[in-house]
Amino acid sequence: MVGKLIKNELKAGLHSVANIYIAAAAAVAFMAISLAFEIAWLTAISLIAVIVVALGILIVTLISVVSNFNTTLFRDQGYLSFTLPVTSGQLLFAKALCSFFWILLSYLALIGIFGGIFYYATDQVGEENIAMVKILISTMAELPDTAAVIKVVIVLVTRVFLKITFLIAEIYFAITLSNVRPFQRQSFLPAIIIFAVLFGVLQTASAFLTAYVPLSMVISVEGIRFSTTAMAAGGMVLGVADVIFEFVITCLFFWGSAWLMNHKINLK
Amino acid sequence: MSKIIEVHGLQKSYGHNQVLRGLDLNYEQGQIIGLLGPNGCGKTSLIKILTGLIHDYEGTVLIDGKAPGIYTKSVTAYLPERTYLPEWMKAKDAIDYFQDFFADFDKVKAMDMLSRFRLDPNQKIKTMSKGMQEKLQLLIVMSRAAKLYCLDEPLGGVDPATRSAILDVIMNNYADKSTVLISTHLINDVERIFNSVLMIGEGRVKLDASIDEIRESGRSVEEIFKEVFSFGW
Repeated sequence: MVGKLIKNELKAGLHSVANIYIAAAAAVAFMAISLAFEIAWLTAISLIAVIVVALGILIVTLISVVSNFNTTLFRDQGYLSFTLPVTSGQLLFAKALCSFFWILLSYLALIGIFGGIFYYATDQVGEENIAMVKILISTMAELPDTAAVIKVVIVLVTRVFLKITFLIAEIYFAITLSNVRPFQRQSFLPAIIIFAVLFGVLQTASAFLTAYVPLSMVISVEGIRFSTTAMAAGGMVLGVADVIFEFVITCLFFWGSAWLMNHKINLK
Repeated sequence: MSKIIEVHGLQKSYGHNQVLRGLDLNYEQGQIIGLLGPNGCGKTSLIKILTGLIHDYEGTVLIDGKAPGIYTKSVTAYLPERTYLPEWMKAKDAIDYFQDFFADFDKVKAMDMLSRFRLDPNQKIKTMSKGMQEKLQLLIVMSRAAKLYCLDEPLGGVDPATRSAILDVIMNNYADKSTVLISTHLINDVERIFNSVLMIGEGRVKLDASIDEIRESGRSVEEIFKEVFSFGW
């Protein structure tokens, strides 16, 4: 059943974000044409269009994630979602996984587009971009332990994935709580307030933990080791306390959302 | 015959407003039950509890011997009083969606009814009129071979000719030995199809009788309804 939920979630998501990706492809195509034919005025316009659409991808994706969750569970479509023979946990998992996919895709699109613009801009001022990339790759390859570089990449990618999951869990919990009876009659306002309060409190807690709980991960050529000091010599130091905190809070948000769905949500 | 609906001491409140005050119901399989009562008497709340949409109630509710959950949702077909299909879907997408999730869904039957209702499988739900959307929902729900059908106001807001067509769809398509619970205000139009009538008011059962018992009294369902609720509720 989870596979079927994911399939249908992806279809629904695609209908929400397809247009902005088509717009982005069109803007990039116009820019490529203008560069190929060296039409300066069209290059200027299409460059602005590409930047606007690239930011639009991120904004539309986030709106789509929020809107899809609220509409399919707590508005009329909720009458369908909650009468499917699946658990609230399965519904949440499928939605979270698909939201994660769309947000990650929007980040990659944003990085790709701005990377392309950066390449174009530096190329215009005479930078040898391709040569620089080749030098960077060869430098990495010559490092005494390339495994350490891979470890750094894995740790950083995991950190980004956790950040995205944390954001999704926070959004889902705020929306679910705003659909519990005391807040249900107001529109989006309770969800926005709950999200803002949670965001403020959790960011403060996370910063506090980073500053006062000196648990860290040291990545060096010898491998990964944990340290109980904030500063450690001989490698790249990453805070761990706030990561553990975010992981625990993410789990609590998902559990809390499922609990509210099972015990406190009455569809309007 | 096994019980499809068992309800004991069911109570439900919205804040200080108690809409169900200790309901007791028992229905065996193979009946068409008319759920009648004035506005706000708790008909929709009762249906939402039976279909697993409301969880914070007191009392015992069993569907086919099980508390509302995954199993009961797999054997209960629910038609709410509002349109619940995603607007981006085409009619055929909605049919595929139900086929994905319900093992008892009959796609051939759904496509057949779609053409008899003259609905285009490729038409987006967003572009359909409210009447077309209601027809699509009804045919999808009635394409399931469920043990229990819960139909909340299936005749609300449609013209008399469509009402008749909707009743025909319900009568011709519900699965053998299944039970159909129909909530409605339009007693005249539907009393011919009921086996049993359940009237609720003030959160309590006002009348729970078979249609034979009602006929023996020499009165119609509508006459009894007016008598039961003549002084308000």
